[in-house]
Amino acid sequence: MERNTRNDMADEVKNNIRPPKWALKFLRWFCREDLSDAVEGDLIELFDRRVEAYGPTKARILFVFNVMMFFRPFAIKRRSNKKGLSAFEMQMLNFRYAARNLANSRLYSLINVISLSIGLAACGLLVSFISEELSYDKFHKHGERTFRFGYQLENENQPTRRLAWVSALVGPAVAETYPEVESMVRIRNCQGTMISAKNEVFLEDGGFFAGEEFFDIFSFESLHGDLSTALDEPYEAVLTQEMAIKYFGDENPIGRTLQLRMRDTLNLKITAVIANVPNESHFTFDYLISHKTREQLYPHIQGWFALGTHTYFRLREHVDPIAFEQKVENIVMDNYGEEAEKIGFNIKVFTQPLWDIHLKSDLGSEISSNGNIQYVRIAGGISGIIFLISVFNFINLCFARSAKFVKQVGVRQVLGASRIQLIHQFMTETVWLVCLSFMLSSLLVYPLLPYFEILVSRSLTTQWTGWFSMTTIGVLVLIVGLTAGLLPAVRILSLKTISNLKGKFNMGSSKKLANQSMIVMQFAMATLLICGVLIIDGQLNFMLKSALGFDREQVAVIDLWNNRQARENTSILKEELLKSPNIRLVTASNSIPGEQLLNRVGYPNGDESQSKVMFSLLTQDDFLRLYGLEIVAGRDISSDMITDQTNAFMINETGAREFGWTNDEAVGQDFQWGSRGGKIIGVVKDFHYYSLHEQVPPMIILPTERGVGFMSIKINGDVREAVEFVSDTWAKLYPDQVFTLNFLDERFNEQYQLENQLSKIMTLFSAIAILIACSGLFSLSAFHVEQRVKEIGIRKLLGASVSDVLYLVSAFFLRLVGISIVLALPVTYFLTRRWLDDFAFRIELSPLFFIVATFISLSIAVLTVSIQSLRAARLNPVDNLRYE
Amino acid sequence: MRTSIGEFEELVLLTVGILYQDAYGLAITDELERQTKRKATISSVHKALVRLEEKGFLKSFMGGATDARGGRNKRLYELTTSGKKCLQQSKELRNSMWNAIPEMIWQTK
Repeated sequence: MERNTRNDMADEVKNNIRPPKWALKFLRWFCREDLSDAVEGDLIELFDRRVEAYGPTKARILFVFNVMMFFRPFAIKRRSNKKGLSAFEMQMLNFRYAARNLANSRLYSLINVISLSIGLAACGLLVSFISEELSYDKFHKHGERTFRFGYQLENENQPTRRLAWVSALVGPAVAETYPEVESMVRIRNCQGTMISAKNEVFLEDGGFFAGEEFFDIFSFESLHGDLSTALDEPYEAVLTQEMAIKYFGDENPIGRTLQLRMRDTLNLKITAVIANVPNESHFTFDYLISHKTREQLYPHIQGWFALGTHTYFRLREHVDPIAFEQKVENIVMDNYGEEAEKIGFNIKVFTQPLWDIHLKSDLGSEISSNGNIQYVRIAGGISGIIFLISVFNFINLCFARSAKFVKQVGVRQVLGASRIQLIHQFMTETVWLVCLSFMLSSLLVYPLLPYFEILVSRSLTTQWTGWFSMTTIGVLVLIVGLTAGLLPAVRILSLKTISNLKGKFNMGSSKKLANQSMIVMQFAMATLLICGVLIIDGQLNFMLKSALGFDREQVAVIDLWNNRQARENTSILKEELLKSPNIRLVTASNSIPGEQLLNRVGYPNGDESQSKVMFSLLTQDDFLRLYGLEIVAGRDISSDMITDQTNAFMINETGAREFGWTNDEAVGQDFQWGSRGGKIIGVVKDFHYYSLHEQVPPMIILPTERGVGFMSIKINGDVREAVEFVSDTWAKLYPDQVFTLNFLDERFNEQYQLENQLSKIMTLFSAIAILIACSGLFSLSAFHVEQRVKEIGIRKLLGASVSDVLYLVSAFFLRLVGISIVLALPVTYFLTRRWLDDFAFRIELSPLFFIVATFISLSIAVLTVSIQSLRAARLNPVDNLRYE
Repeated sequence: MRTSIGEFEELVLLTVGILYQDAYGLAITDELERQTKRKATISSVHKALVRLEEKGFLKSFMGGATDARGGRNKRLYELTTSGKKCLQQSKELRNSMWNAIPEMIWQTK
């Protein structure tokens, strides 16, 4: 029977019913050679038989199936026989080649690895700063639904002001009317002196009155006590762990009492202790007192314009915050409309997401100074730039270095290395280098982190062990390493073996372009950073040094807020202080430059429709003299004239302008300020009460007997002695009161803390960026010189001087740097322009900055390149040419 | 060195013996199916053949090409001395074990 089928088969072949070609091809591709012929034969025979039995379609399907069944280890070709190397062995061999090559070009490799790891470390530090800034307030459970109320004061004549605090009435009014609000809490800063069990006295200014819902809105961790009821009753308080340890040591503070002296003396019962406030919170505190305490203490303080309360609330799920904001924005005007119109203000309530507060809120009256999204962006930009510079640098250097191995590659090619093997080898080398750099950089980051923390005044965590960061790093290593390996490999392999053997390494024009553009990019970015540093520094210096219109040198300030005795009667302290020969003037006031001012409405000539909010400075004698304020019209308030004490006002130029007066016209005008009526007796030249971020507000200066919080002391002579004298006098007069003394210029300059940090960070990191870019330029010029050694030799033989050679080599690089500067300047101009726009008073972007930056980056480049070109120029041509 | 063989390999080895001079992949598969009344895939037969050759029980040579089979050669297998010995040993083993089974077994149900 079998014989018969076989005879029939021959007919079928003639009928040209054939098994699928691709399956046969596939079989031939994978099957062992000694087996494939026989297997093919068997399968075709079987196929023919099946065509007969089941028809061609099924036969084909079965044929494919049979082929697939052969795709098994016994039939598959061995890629390499026992004499070859396994993938692992190959990798080890590549690793050995890599090590050997690295050792052969020690200087390049060292520069390469070190500059990459410095760059990566710098990026790591910046990234940890950025992630810290972005993580603020994220620990609160329903943070995405939590918001804060603010007041927006609108007035046609004044810039709109936005405040982070509102009246204490806003919170309850909204919560009662709108069911969308799930929970609401009011907090209000308080300070006082706390008396410990051992009768020690401390000034505690980190306290808040906080409503019952505080721990419902904010997720702080409880250590002792039940947080849900902790602030329910009057005179209950919650301490942080740090505070609890300070006052009670290891004992459990629950149920104990602490005495807090403010305007009144409070006996507070401790109901709970919480863990210290995390760094990533936009406000921090040491203790909380139940809000009911405040309601009992000051039941009379009510009113829609009594500010000072920060109000947070949580919306129910699926409530649209924008629609909600529109609903509540007029709540003040609805309740307080008439009075508000009288003072010429339209007050709108706005809401602000909790998560925006740290970075995006830049309001007056924040609880504590916030970060700034712009600086996070700048940090991101710098880290991106440094990353790119170091990566470009790395790729460029790997490329340049590979020129040394052209011959080696040629020999390998002759000995039968495949392309894949060679590419593999290059990549092994670069991937290992990148790995090494990453490890080195993490070794660098950990010891540097504490210093960086001081620089940015944040405590940072490096969470690099998470799977996300690990994968990111892994992917980066691979991308950088593989690109850096692929470029030179492809370049060398595209050349003829024979030219490789000769050791020629001519860069093709496209590759040259890639290399050159990377140099250009590097230097463009470095120039951008230099320029940025110069301009930020310029603005900072301008702000620190520019004339503010008042004298702040050698002015010491002592706080009187916590010393009622001194506040009520300043003359005792004043007289005592003036006894020192080192103290020239002493004055007291309700505020000092840089501090919050009282906002109160004033209007001239009994015409209430002209009301304006005046920033009010309540002063005692000598304030104008001490601060060196200039009077442009009228006269100073005089302590000799009794009427001055009750009805004299002075305003600043801005104030006069807002009421439509010239300076001289202003003098003698009748004026009503709050409940006090009087005459304007003088106009003060405008001075910058706040930092140069802000415009000069309309101000009013008036004499006061009480309500002063600060005493300013003008020192004239030995500062140290004077400070000691002040401290001793205080201790003599008020032995049980806390003494705090600052210097005004330091205190004032704290307003520039962010710029100061930014300037330092920029300087440091642009130095790093430039260092990296230079190391790249250095190695590249060395490579460049090496390639042209013979050319230089011949040129010298033909009479070229050292300077000719110098020019020859440097010109190439300097042209690139020149292009990069031209590219960088417009971008720099645009970016710095935007940064400067934030300041009310700013430096002009003079061309000088750009010229200086150009000069710096050009001269750095010249220096770097000329080290190599000089070396080349001074070589003896005989040595250069001897080889062939 | 004693090399053991599995049941399927033993059957293939026996089939090669049966077919004597015409033992190639497909023919072995056919014969095996006929003898055992079981389905055997061509690939598993080839696998067994490769194994048995590696173990030294079979040797192979290329047979002449024919018009059929799309002009491909046959790989013809034959038993080696150790292959024959192996079959013999396994038969003897079976026999001696058969004989060791007490007669009683066959009489009880």
